[in-house]
Amino acid sequence: MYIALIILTILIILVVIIYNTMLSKKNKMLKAYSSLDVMLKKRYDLIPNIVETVKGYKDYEANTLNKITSIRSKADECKNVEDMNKVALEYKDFMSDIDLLCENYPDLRASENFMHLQKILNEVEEQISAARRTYNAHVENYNTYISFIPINLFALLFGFKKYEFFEMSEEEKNTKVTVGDFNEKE
Amino acid sequence: MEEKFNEFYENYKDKLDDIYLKFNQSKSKIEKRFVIAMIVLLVIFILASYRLKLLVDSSSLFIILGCIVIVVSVFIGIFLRLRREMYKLNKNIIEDIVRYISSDETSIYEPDKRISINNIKEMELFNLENLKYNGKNAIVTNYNNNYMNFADMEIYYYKDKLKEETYYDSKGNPYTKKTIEKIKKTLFSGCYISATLNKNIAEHIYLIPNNFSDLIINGAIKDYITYSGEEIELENLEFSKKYKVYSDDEIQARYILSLSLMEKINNIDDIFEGKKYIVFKEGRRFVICLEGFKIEDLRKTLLPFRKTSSKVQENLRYIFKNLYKLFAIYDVLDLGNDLYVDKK
Repeated sequence: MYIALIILTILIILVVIIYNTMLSKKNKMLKAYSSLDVMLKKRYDLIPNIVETVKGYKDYEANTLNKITSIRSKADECKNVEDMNKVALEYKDFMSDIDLLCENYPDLRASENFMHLQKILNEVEEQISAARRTYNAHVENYNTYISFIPINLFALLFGFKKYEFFEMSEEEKNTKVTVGDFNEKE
Repeated sequence: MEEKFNEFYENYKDKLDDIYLKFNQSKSKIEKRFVIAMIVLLVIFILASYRLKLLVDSSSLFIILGCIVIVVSVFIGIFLRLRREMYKLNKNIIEDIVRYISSDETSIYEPDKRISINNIKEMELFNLENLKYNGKNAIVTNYNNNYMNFADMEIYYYKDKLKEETYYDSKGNPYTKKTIEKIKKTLFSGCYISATLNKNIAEHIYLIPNNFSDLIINGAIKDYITYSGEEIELENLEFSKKYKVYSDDEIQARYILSLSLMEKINNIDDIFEGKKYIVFKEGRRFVICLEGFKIEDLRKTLLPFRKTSSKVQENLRYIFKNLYKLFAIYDVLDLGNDLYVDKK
């Protein structure tokens, strides 16, 4: 009888430990997610400044303006990493347009406003990269933990699901600069 | 490096002539003084021996031996005095090399000065309440528009050790006397490098060698260190094998320790193999502490007394190479330049 009680107590303690560890790992991951979200919003908040800087150039078309308005509103509506990844792809397209514009108008690239904006953008991109690495590290940690046997059974029981990574394209992995090629060092 | 040194050596030949001119002037003065002192001593010694009739009564061997001792002592005295003179001149040589490498004519080398204790405290790495700090050989320079400091630094503490010794009283009975012996334990001995960081951070980030805690044998580690924060696991395996990273802000730590910077930190091993402590400080500064590297060793690498000796170039190369390494570490990390510069 006593032995059964001891075993039961040990089991309960084990379940509590496993539950708390899963929760702690999940919370850490969610904290990293919210930081990433803040950084990404900061990035999309810079879009009006980019538009303000480049709007005088004739290649800059009205449909691009529509495109970026949609990026901002979509960014505000993001509810999960999948949405974030989609908006990030649209943003990448938008920045490619700006890159093209830079190539066609060297005076744009040389303008003080644009250079200042470039510095801010690069800074934000680095912060996003750091936040993304933090988030992905915590996702990996959490996903790995809830995959172990028998922890996966408890995860299923308590409703802990696997989370998605925030993807980074190969291009982004190699360079943190998205507009032009201003970064001499990295 | 060799090319740089050859270029430096070519430009430095005139300066080297000046150094040897100064040295030779001092040398002739020292030699004159010592030779006069030697003659006086010999005369006094021989006269005193004669007076005491040692020459006649005792063997002349004593006199010969006495004279030999005096002559040898004088030669040793001359040698040590000349070494001291060269040691003084070496200060100028090190300063000139630093100025050449940094291209900053205002660079200063102060052999007797050390990094201020506030700088060590600001690192928030070692607990100076329980540790002692010694240092010298401070170098201040401006390298590629970045303000840099180098200096020798030693961090140590004393550990009490109970010592029991057995004595005997007048009756021959043994008794034990207990004494407390203070044993010096060095926690860090090497070179401190402080330089400009191109990113602004709000929290310290510490990179501690993986085997750091092994250094404090039988000691409470918390008494000696003050670094804090959560340990952060980073993506680069080679880097993680070498360092433990601590910071209160994980995202910021990853912001500073980008994938490329971790690779660069790994690459410092090609320049300097010893253990390294790196602290990215609040504001725009970072500090690297190189275990085992000492500017004092360069100071002690003296040029030979004769300018024609082949050792002149060899010793100069050694000093140049090692000072160049300090700057090369900074170049490899590339943390001083503005991050984003228009190529045009």
